[in-house]
Amino acid sequence: MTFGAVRTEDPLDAESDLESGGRAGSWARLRADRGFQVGVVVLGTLVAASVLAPWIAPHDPNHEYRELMPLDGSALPPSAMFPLGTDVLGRDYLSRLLYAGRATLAVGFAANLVAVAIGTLVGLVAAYARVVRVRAGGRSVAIPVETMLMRLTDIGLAFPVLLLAIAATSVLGPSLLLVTLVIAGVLWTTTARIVYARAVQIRSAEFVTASRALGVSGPRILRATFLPHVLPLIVVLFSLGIASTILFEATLSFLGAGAPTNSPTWGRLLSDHLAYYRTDLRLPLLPGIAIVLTVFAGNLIADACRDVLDPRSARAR
Amino acid sequence: MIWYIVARVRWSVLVLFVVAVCAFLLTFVAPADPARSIAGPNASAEAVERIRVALGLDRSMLQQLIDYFGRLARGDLGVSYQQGGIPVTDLILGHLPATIELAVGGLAVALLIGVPLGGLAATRPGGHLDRLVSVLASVLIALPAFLIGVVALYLFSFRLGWLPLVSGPWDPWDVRALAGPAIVLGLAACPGYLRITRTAMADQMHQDYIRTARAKGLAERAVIWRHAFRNAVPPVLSQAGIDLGFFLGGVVVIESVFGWPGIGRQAVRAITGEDVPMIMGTLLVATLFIVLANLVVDVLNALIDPRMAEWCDEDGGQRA
Repeated sequence: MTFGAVRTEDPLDAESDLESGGRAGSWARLRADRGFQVGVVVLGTLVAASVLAPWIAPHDPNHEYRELMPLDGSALPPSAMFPLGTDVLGRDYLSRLLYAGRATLAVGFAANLVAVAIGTLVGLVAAYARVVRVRAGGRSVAIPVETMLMRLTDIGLAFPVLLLAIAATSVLGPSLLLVTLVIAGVLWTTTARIVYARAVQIRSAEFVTASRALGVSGPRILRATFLPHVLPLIVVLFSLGIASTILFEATLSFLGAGAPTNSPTWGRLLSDHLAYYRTDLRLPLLPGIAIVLTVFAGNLIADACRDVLDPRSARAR
Repeated sequence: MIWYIVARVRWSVLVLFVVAVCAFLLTFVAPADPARSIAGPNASAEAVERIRVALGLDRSMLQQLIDYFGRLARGDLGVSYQQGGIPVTDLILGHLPATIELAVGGLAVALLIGVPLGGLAATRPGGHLDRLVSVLASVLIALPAFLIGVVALYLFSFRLGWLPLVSGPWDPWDVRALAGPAIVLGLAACPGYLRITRTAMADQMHQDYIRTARAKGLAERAVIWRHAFRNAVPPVLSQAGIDLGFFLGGVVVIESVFGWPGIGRQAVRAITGEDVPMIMGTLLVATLFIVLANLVVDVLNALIDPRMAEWCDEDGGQRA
């Protein structure tokens, strides 16, 4: 997990992508990668199960089967009626896990998408715009966009992100949307740094100078010239981000600052049932396994993408 | 070089300033009314108003910001709402030793596992050990730190009884109490060291001087540890410095799992209790450690390898 300091080294080798020319056959190599296959199957199954939850869940996740519960207050073990047993309130645990999967994956993908989008935008604009001259009141004012954006990123990287995120969610009140925004708000800096570093290498390339000389507009150069070159990097960062956002959300939930109780995520289910680890290990273990499987699958996919897109690391294997 | 250090220090101060302003703004967003929290639920309106004036909360926002920086300059972080008016500085300093012990212990465990294993893995890329190390790193990265902590508590404290289950008041010499949280922190942090050491060593093993060392008949062990390893150390040390900075700001998760009385657990309690001065204080102290660690690592790197100081060229030109 993003446990200690945030690491901002470029997961792809810088020159390889510019020099290897064309990524023909990348997809074929990716499909042949065993790690990628396993990752896609595992993550695909989890996503499918979560998306289809309303149709495949055996019970209403919030219905409490109180009449079936033993008097000592313990949860029901797995049975034909409840494939994974119930929680202590008599709710079907499989159904709860499936619905929690929806919340978890939605937060994980959305937060990650926003974080990578902000980071990419900041990194590209900083590298391309450098200094923008604005005419204000007859005078030309130079705005050092590059320095400002990257210093902002550095400040973001120096923040104790976990403390900041708990403080923000506890001050503003828990909701899935807020958790998503808070996670994106603290995790975009890594992407910005890495994309910026790559874009700085691209901006001195001849094809960029050529586009500028031809009078191509700034936004169009960013879209048509820079973006294709950073796209593989973004793919890798996004796949790595699935794991870190889900872990981050789980950690927030564990500290009581993640998803609200009425729409639990796996992290929330896990932390809610942590106290039962002595009596019924199944309750905290199952959401834990779901988290670990998702993160593991996400990392397998990311590793495979990196290997395929970076010939040097593939050769080193 | 001196200009590099000056530029670097100036930048660190700026970061701290921005974080301090952000922490200050947090007080205005927080729903809790500080005067009301101190006075208690049964206090009269006049009593609450008196406290508001005494705290300077009736002044303008800008005036409050200036007051706040004036107090910061004297090392005064305000008083805790939650804990009966004890100064936040005292509370943080009181819990800091426990965090320092855990941070150093955890980092030591991470280095002891990560560096030798990562280094050995790089000597035979694709070998059994290399594969084992990469699987270990992938598994540890996929585990949330609190899950490792809870499983460790369950196994070693509850099932096997090797480690104390409920730790009493903090005792710096109680190694048994430290073992659990330090090992879990070390396990959670070690994938980074496994990967960094492996990459750095693998890079070195391809260098010409390694071929020369082998060609002149040095034993493989000497080639690996006396030559390649020494050159692979700097990136590992950089990461260790930065991680230490992060840990000193409170190992929030692991302190909470094990009930370790450091500033991280204190911060979580402050956040759930809406103890705003305590939250602001901890945020600032945590940032201070991160910024200091980054500063020290960058300056040390620049002293070891002056090429690193090129960073300041953008505003320092040839001065370095």
